[in-house]
This record gives sequence, structure tokens and C-alpha cells, in this order.
Amino acid sequence: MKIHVGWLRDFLPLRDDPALIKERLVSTGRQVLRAKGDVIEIQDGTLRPDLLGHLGVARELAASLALDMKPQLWAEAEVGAEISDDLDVQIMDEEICSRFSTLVIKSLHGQAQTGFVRERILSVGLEPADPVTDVIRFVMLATGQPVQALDRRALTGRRLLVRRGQPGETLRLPGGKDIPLSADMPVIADEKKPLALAGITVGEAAGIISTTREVVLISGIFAPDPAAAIRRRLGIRTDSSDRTERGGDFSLPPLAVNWAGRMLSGEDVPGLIDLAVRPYKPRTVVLRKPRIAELLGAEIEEAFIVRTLTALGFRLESQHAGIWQVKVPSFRSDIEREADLIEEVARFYGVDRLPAALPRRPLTAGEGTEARKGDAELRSLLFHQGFDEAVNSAFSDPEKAVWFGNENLALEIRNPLDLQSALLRTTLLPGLLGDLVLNLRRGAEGIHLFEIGRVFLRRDESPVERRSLALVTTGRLAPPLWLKSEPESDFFFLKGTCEGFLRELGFEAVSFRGEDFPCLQPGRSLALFVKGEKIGFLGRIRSDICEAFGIDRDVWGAEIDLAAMASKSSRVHRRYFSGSFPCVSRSISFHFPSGLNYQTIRDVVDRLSVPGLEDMSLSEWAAPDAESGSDGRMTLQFRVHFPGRDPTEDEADALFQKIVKALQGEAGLQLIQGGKIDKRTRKD
Amino acid sequence: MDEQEEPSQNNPVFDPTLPGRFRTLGTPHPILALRRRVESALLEMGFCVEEGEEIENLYDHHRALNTTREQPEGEKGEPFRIDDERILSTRAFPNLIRILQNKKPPLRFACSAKVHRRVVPAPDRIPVGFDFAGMLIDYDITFAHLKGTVEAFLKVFFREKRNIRFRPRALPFAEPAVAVDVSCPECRDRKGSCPFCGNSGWIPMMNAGMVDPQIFKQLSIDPESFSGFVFGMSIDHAARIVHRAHSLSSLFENDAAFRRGDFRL
Repeated sequence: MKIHVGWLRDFLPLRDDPALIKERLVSTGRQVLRAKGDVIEIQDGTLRPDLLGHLGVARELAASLALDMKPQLWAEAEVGAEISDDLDVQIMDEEICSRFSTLVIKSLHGQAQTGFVRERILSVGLEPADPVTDVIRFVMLATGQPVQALDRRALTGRRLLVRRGQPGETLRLPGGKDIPLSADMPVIADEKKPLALAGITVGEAAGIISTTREVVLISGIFAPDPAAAIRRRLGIRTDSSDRTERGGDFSLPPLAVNWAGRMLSGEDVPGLIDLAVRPYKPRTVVLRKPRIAELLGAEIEEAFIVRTLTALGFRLESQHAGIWQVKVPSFRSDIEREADLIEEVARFYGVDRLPAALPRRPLTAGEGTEARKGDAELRSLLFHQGFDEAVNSAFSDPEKAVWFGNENLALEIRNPLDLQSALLRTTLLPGLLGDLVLNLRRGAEGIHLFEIGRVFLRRDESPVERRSLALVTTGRLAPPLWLKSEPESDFFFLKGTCEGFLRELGFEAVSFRGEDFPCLQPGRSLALFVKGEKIGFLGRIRSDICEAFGIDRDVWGAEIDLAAMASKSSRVHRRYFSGSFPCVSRSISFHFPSGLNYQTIRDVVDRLSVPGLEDMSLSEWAAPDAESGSDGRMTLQFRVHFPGRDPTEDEADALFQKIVKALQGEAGLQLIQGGKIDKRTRKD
Repeated sequence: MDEQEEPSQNNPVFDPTLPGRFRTLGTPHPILALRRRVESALLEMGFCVEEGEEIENLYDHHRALNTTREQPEGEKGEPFRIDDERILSTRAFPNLIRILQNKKPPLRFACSAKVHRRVVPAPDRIPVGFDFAGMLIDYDITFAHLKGTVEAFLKVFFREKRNIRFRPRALPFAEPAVAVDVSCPECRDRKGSCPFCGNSGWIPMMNAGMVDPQIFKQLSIDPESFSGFVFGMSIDHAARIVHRAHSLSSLFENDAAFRRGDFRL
């Protein structure tokens, strides 16, 4: 809201310059967005209705600068009967309106006031409109209380009702847009039709136009929630609705319409109708001086407490020494408890002046969650593999989501920013592919990204969040070098990365099975299992998906359910050799038939559970020749450690014979040559 | 020995000053790296740290914020809605309250969370971000302890001297509540128009406050026996200040080359 220093002087004998006023506003909790000349734009971030008017801001300054407020600009309103010659007013529902004031203005002769009003409107950067609109805006900006004006000719009959909207009713807004009304929307209506959204905006038919001669001024205290709901649902937000959303000052509606009426007609206007569903009862809160010291950690003088709260409009009655019964004024609906009053004291004492100290309890080390600790280790391993960390929003494009599966389980966003982000993501891969595009467009030749984030699935109509890891990789694995061309990313780089971090994180019984996935090219994709449970997939991203993203090269991607992975964790404590006993290593070559895959061989060896088998690696591999029908060839290298001793040749031979026999019998391998113990290594 | 490397080494005109071979390491995301720095600072100060959920029950959200109705659209933006009961979290604090429901004081606890706000993307605001909130509850905790803890946190977090200013602000779940400003790193070095603080010399960095007794009641804690404070920060906003990035969106996007060139943590 824009505040004009000259306008504040209507309420307060201010002699200070705008810079000091700005400083006082900041020190008492207002955020100053801009300040230029006599205009200060503030944001207060509260639900206080009074701070959206110059009067409320002036009250704050009065307390801060120890000034007395000037006498109010308006006369006390003289309230008439509920029914006048002009109108019969009724609040039909007490839940939506607690006070409602109306005044009919039959002659608009307040020309003497309009120059002053225009000047004030201009001073806060607004464009003047017609005199009626200017006056009601003036009253609202001065007091914070919205006033609405209806053209009397729009009313059918004498009845003016505050009621709920009815299904099937519509209201045409200024500009010609029709909105449907519902029971949660408070409206001002005559006998036949709705005329305005209460406290928000007047319908087009009842709006003020150049030929308006007779005006019905209305102002009320309306329930704040409907105004917020209408803003959310229909996007209707006005200066009035901002104030209505904050509740309001129960005392103001009759004063505001009376003041507006006097300015429009140039004289006091009789016939004010003021309905209140119940008399106002000020809230009383007990304030204890010892409690102030307990909460703020500082002793504050009693005189300061009394002076500050009194200047803010509170009435203090001392019951015992240092204990007060505090009556809360009607414009401070935000004050409910003792802590609220203590905050007021701290605000005006100066929070920056209050002392600082560290808590006395001895400090002990904090603790993070297991998941976060696991993430740190995983992230570190991926950095070492050359993967950059990425982060994306939780949204996904419905058109793209269908390529990745699970689209039926995706949750919709009711109020998305755009159609391309209308779903919650069920996979991290589309976001990473988008990042890949950005990097490729900026000239990157090799991009390797990972994201650890959450995906969202609908289970039994409830959302479920799952922690997930995704990787994408394409292009060069290292910067160009004079020495030789560096290798490029491929399927086995991605698979090796997954195998590598799973091994380093201590996962056992990791295996892969060929399986098709919606986003991966058939025959180039694997499901990843840990201890027999599928926890993820990896493979080459389908070329048509890459094309749709604008990527014209091969991309490999993987996604792993981190929650499922964590549930299979059984941290393997690696045994390190003592220096005195070597590791036994042997290479064995086999022919293998077409159709046999490496995982089968791996499974056979794993099932054997050879004691001391440290590692099995594939050191040579040639595919079977499909044309000639000849078998493939592979060399497996085994490394075995006999804890605490040096094995004999016979012991080692027996162990390797067991492995060879199993591979021949269960996997159908044919032994080409068996080596003897050909290398002894020592490990630290 | 690499076969392409060998000839040059045996060559009498071998040039040992040719560039060496190195492995490119991955880089952390600047905002996530800062999130880890925040968590590390909190752990050092004895806070237990958890990660918050991204989907939040609207009831929990309002209850934690100590309000039955929604704040008018402000700096946090409106939430993204999933259905009548659920939204995407706009701040970490409600997550913190939910986690604390089964814990008993005295306690020091913090939660960091990914949050989403319905704001139209611009250089200085994007719909996704990271927040943290911390809470300390004990006997005889006063506003002075809040100030001391926040000052200590900012000292550990910034790793350099910054002036700190406390000013009042309204938070529905804290009374009294304050905004914490830090001195602007840019204005210290130069004069003229400052993109970070608008030449005020101060940058809003954190919010903090003494926990409202109503929140204690929700957590089944006696507000007459215990008192405590809450503090929190938008990590993406802090990242902009720490990295002196003029645009939050450029800091957020996953451009690997930009990161390798522009920042190291």
C-alpha cells in the first residue's frame, strides 16, 4: 500500500521528514518497498485490517514518535431505524456478515470536497475517476474500510439484502464477464437479483455511471474466508477484497458510509441504517510484567509498557502491581493472547535493542537422517563418476508423461502455472532430459547428470512420495585432449556406474535382467534387482523420445527407487587383507553358446558362494557368430583370498575346479584352457 | 603405458609441459550445496535435521501456521493445489511441526524441504525452491537466546563477518517475530545501484520468532513450563546472496558449464 506523508498529517501532527518516518515504519515492523518524495510504499505481511489505511499507519507512528492523534475527521454517525423511507435492509445470514451499514445519497453536491479528494487520490499514484468512486476510494484508503456504491436505479423495490449466492444465479462484473454464484459467496441483492459481491466488487448493472443521480452507499464486516476463496477460485481480487480478507474494524462501517455521504452531498445526510447481528464486546487479555521479562529476556519499564499500549489504542486497567487487564480495540482483531501484547511491547521497544545470548544447555552433536547420510555417500560416488547434480521442479508435462509410463498414477495440479506443468512427476527422467537439451544447446559435448528427488504416485486415491535417483548420460566422458580421443558414454558406462556405486555402498546380490520399459529401446534395457527385488531400470532412451525433446544423439538413462534400495541395504564390511598373505588370481577361458547371457554365468557363481571369492571379472569377450553358428568366447578372471594363510596349489586348484564344473554343468560353458595360479598379488 | 603416449616420451623433443590428463569430476548443484551447508551448520549447533515432505495436508499447514485461513498472497506466493485437502509445501515450518508431534522437549530440531510456490517465473523468483526451519524448545528460553542462536548460525553459515539487524515482522505462529537482515555484500564494495538490496545496505535473510503458545498446545507442550523459538530461511534466496548471482533462475538451472566456470563451494 502507498502511504502519503501529507495524508498521514490529516491524522497526526507530524513534523518529521519522510526519511525518519520510513525508518520508524521499518523499526516497528513494516517493510518499505519503495520511498520516493512524500510517498512510501509499504508491505506489512499481517492480517491486520487497520494497516491498509492511513489511519492505522498514523496510529503506529503516534506510538513510535510519542505523538497524540488529532481529533478524527468525521462526526459520529447518527443511526436511524432499520427501515427508512428509501430502503428495507436485512442481513439474511449472520455467518457471512456481522455488521452492515447503508446510506442513500439523493443529491451529489459535495463539489467543495472533490478537489481535496482528487488531490489525495493523485498523491498515492492513483488515477481519479468519477466523484463517487473517488470518494469511496478516499474513505477506504484513509480508514482501511471498504465502501461500495450502488446506483439506486438498479434496485428493484426497497429491499436490500445481504445473503448467500444461490445456485443458478450469475452476476455480471464490470467489463462484462458473468460469474456463477454459489452458496459460499456473500452477495448484496435486491428482491429479485444480486447486485454486488459483498466487500469485493459491484456488478456492472449497479455500477456508478455518468447519469447516476442517487447512490446507495454500503459498507460491512463480512466473513473473510469467502473473499479468499473467490480470489483463489475466480481470480477476482480488488482493493476492497484485500481488506475484506483481513476481517475489518467492527466500529467503522457506519462511520465510513457517513463520512463518504457527507463528502458526496456536502452536508450531513440523515437516514443511516446500521445493522449489527450482536453488540460489540471488546476482548480482554491479561498482561503480566514478569512474563514479558521471561519471554524477552530483558526487563522493560512499566511506564514504557503503559505508554506504548495506550498510544496503540489499548485500555489498560491495573489490577495488581505489574498485572493489567488490557481491553483490545476493535481495530486490533489480531490481538488474542498475552504473547500478542508482549510482541507489541517488543516491537516498539526495538527488537534490535534487546539482548542476545546463547542457550545454556551444553551443546551436543546433532544428527541427520539415515536417508540424508546415504544420499551424501551416493552423491559423492556419482561426482567421482563425472555426473553433475541437477534439481528440477515437481511438475511434468502430461503430453510427455505418457512416454515414461505410470501416467495413470500421476496426480494432477489443480492450479498449474501452465499446461506443460499440470501433473506431478512420476519419474525424474523427463526433467533430466530437459536439462540435457539446455546443456547441448549451450555447446556441451558430453553431459552426465543425476538427480536425487521425489516422485509422486497415486495409491488408493492418496498421494505417495517416493525418493528416487535418475541418471542420464550422453557424449564425451572427458574434455578433449591432445593425447588421444577420450571414450564416449554408452550403455556399459551407465551400467558400470550403477554397478560401481551399488558395490561401494555395500549392496549384495545385485543382478540385472533384460526387460522392456516404456521409455527405453527394446533389447537395450535392463531391470535392476537387489536381493531379488526390482528397484530400477536402465538402458537407452528411445530415439523417438529423444527426438521429441530435440536431442539428436544417443542418450542412456536409469532410474532407481531409493526407498526400495534402502530397504535392501545390508552394509557389507569389506575385509582388507593383512599384508603377509597374498590373493590368488586365475584366468579361465570358455566357449559359450548363443543365447547365454553374462548374468546367467554371474548367477551360477553367486549361487556357489565360494568362500573367499573376492571378485569375478570379465577380461575378454567375443560374441557368438550368428552366420557361422560358432560359439562365443570369454575369459573370466577370479580372485580368491584365503584368510590368515597362504593356500597350497592343490587347495587353489580344487576351488577353481569347483567353479569350472559348475559353469560347465549349469551354464553350458566349454572350458578352453585353465591356467594354473599365475599371479599372486598383495593388497594393502 | 598408453601406446600413444610412449613415442612422445621417448622422443628427444618430448615436451613435458603439454597439458596433463585429468578426470572430470561432477559438480554439486549450487543451491543443493548450500542446503547441505545449512544442514551442516545446524548439525554443528546440535540440531537434529530431517528432510520434509513435498506434499502437505492443508489442515496441517493451517494448524502449523496457527491460522484458520490463508494469508493473502504475499512473498511466499499461493500454494499449488492437488485436491481439497492437499497442497505442495510452500515452506518448511509446517513439516517441522508435523515431525515434532511425537517428540518431547527439551529439543533442538530442524527440517529442510523442497517447496513450491505459485509465482510466475522471473529472474528473481521461480516456482521451486528450498526452505529450512529450525526449532529449539527448553526451559527458560527467551528472545535473547533466539538472537544469540540466529547470530551464531549466520556466522557459521556465511563463514565471513556480516552485520546483522533484527526488525519486527508478523508471523502467525510466532510472538514476537522478527525478520533478520544481513549487511549487503555488494554495497560494502561499491557504490551506486545495488541489485541485491536496492541500496538500503540490508538484505532480508531469515525469519524468526518465539513460538506462539498455541503451537505448544498443539504439540502437547505446557507453554508455562517450556518456551522456545523458531527460525527459518529460504535457501534459494540465500544462495543468490552467497553466490552474488543477479538472477535466481540462472542459478537454479542445471547448466554444467556455468557451474564449472562460475562457482565452487
